[in-house]
Amino acid sequence: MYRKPYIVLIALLVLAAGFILLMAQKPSEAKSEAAAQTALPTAVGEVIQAAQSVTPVMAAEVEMSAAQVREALVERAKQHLFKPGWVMVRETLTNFTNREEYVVVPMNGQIIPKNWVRETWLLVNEDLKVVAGYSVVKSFKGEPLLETIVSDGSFGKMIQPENLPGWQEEHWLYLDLFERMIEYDGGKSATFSLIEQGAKRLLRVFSQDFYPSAGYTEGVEGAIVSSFSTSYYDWETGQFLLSEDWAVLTDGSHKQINRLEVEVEYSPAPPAEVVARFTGEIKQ
Amino acid sequence: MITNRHQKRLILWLAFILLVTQFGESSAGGGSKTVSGSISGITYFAEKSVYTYTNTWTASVKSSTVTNISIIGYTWWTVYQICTNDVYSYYIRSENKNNRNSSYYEDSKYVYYKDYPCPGGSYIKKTASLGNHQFTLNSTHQYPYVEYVYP
Repeated sequence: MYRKPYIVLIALLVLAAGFILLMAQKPSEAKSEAAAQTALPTAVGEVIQAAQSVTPVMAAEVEMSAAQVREALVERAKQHLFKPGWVMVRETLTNFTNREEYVVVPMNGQIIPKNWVRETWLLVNEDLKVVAGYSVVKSFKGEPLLETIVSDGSFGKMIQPENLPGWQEEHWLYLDLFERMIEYDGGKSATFSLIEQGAKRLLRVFSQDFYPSAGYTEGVEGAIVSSFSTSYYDWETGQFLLSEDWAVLTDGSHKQINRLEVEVEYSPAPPAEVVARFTGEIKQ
Repeated sequence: MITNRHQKRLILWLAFILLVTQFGESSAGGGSKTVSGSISGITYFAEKSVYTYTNTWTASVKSSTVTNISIIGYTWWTVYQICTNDVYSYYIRSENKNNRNSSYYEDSKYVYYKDYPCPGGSYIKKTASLGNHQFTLNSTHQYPYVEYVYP
């Protein structure tokens, strides 16, 4: 008989505690991202410098979940990213740590470079499906290190057509980022915002990893307590533009780990040496 | 009275939902494997782990004992990431790292996904932490092999 008022009281107390927690949590999230923003002069700086005449503005926070943002990018890319014909995707990864220039895998002699450029030629048909692709990873000196090729036979020989699903446009959107953030915490720790850059609207994706204990990565002196990443997409076409990863060290300082830039070009045809790969004239 | 009961239920549900949404924590994927044994009657623990986050994944090796021993650490430790086309997109091997007259040794590697992409058409198949630990007490040695592969 006397329990009911207590239950109501406890429920109200829990609600109040939850509300206080909610209020307390929001500013700290904002604070951590603000701190991260101050440490991102290169990405934001260069985006801003690219359009000095038009002041970039943080247009708005995007009120969408990670899954919804992912779907929006896929839809935009389906409509705008690829065109029938040859498409060339160039990814350039610059690593800022002091680690070795490359690692050799002892079992097969494979070279894993520290800095790399990956150029990928994709043949897109009228249905906007990739039917053939050639990809080469090069060092910054231009040495080819790793080649992969695929074709359904509509261009050159039929080469591992079963791998074609991994070459479709979604692959170039770095959607694994969204899949991991959803797996990590349902995407709750990620923030999405729109930035105006001239006539373009960029989607900014911020996410942070918090570790239970500090650890190390090659080429960085000091222990890392968390890592954060900022990525930019063209909000109209869904194209992944660039991203930067940063480490937060135990003393609170930030160390940039890498910068990845992605360019998409609509090429009339790949160079002859690339075409030769599809016909099998040059041994891989 | 009925209204009151409904109100109470509603409040309880709201409280429950709030609790679930507020206290739901992030959880890294992955895990660890620990092997225990003994060296001259002293219990040791040899652990490897891999945990995945949004932008990074981490691997670690830990050797520990209940009391100090002469040498504690590992003789070799390899961390790798392999893609579905069996290409290694990350690989590192370290050898003979240890502490003397100690009961603990730990090493870790934090790997940034974007540094080590899989070749076109493939994706990450496995991430792994493996190798032989070292426990030495005077002239007695134990080198337990522990491997943790995720997933």
